[in-house]
Amino acid sequence: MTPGIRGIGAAGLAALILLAGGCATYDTRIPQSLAPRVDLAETPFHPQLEYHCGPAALTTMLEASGANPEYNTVAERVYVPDLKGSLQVEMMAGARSFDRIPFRVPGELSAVLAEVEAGHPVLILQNLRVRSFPAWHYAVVVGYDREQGEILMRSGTERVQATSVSKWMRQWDWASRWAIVVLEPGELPAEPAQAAVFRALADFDENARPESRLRAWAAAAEHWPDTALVHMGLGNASYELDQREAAADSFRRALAAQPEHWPARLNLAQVLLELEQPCKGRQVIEAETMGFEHPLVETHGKLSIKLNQACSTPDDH
Amino acid sequence: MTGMIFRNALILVLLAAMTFPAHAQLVSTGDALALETGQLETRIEAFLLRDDVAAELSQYGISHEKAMARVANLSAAELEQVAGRIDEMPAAGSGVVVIAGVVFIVLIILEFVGVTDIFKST
Repeated sequence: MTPGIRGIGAAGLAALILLAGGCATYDTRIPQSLAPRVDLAETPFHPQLEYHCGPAALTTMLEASGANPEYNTVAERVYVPDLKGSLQVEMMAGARSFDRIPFRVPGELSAVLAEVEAGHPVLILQNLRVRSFPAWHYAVVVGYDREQGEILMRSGTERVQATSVSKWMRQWDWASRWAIVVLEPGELPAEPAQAAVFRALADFDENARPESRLRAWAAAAEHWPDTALVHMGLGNASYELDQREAAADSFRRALAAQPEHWPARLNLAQVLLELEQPCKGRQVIEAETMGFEHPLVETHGKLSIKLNQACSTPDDH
Repeated sequence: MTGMIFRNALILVLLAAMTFPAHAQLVSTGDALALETGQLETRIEAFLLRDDVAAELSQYGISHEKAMARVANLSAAELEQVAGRIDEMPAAGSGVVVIAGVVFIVLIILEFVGVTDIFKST
């Protein structure tokens, strides 16, 4: 062969080595602050049927969180036949439909392993091929071994799949580092980040049972007692349980934390109206001035009228 | 300015129409969070996408009825994420295949281009 072609070959080889070397840029060290080895061996396992890694992984996660789902029901909620797979958003929605809360885990190895160390299996998305020609796969991280440099997973048809940290990082990174934990209402991730937790709880709030919502927000209130939103969440859940006094207390706490919080103020006034204390409600709503451009201005207006009417009747208090 | 007033008016109308039927008279916690993060408008618009997403899902082998039940569990943020691009989202289902084949083909190409020759000539 001519030296020219040889040169191209050598360049190709060099490029390959460089590409492979790219993996070295991930931080693949398992932090010293974590236990050297964790194996959540009691995590259940559901070997996947063809293309069914989504339902299999989600069933594993749900069972690990104490739920008792039927595999077929899970599949019916998250499997998309003609895509031969499951969408991430439906995996989250599917978890919520079984009265569990999915929380996003930050896209760092240390964050994933911290959850595992705390006893929470972590559901991850992997890309088993390359970015331009992806093969998506869900797996459940159930352990790691610092000395061996391995991550342990429930994956596909393998009950325990041990993968080197560098390969695991590449497969996860090439799937945008998506990871979630699935927890019972009232539990929080090992390293709860406020924005992620509030997002998860607000999404859970839309369809969940009020008892579960109450537990979920109570856990958040313990962690962030000075934010209005947690008390707002508690108040709304109490209201749905017909506990109006408790709801009013929660909305008052929200306002104590953030007096400018209009949703809590309007809700408190509404609950006071229903508790037949319209004049107190009117005081609450008149204590602050709402700007004309505020998105809740119509709610405010309607409620003001009702409070005024109720408060001006003879037997007011 | 007029555009802004129009948008706000639209939000008001949508809010009045959307938020209250299910949960009596109270402002929902989700609306409160969206208001705090400045995403109330996006959130309201996203809820209007629900039927579209259900229609899209039902093109992939799910009955319309089941698709409606499934999208009912999606949050506003999730609806916004998938609307109009279900086919672009990762739909993970794979077993483990093909990668060995791809590597093999790359090796064969390198072989032809002269990689083995490099070793022979030294």
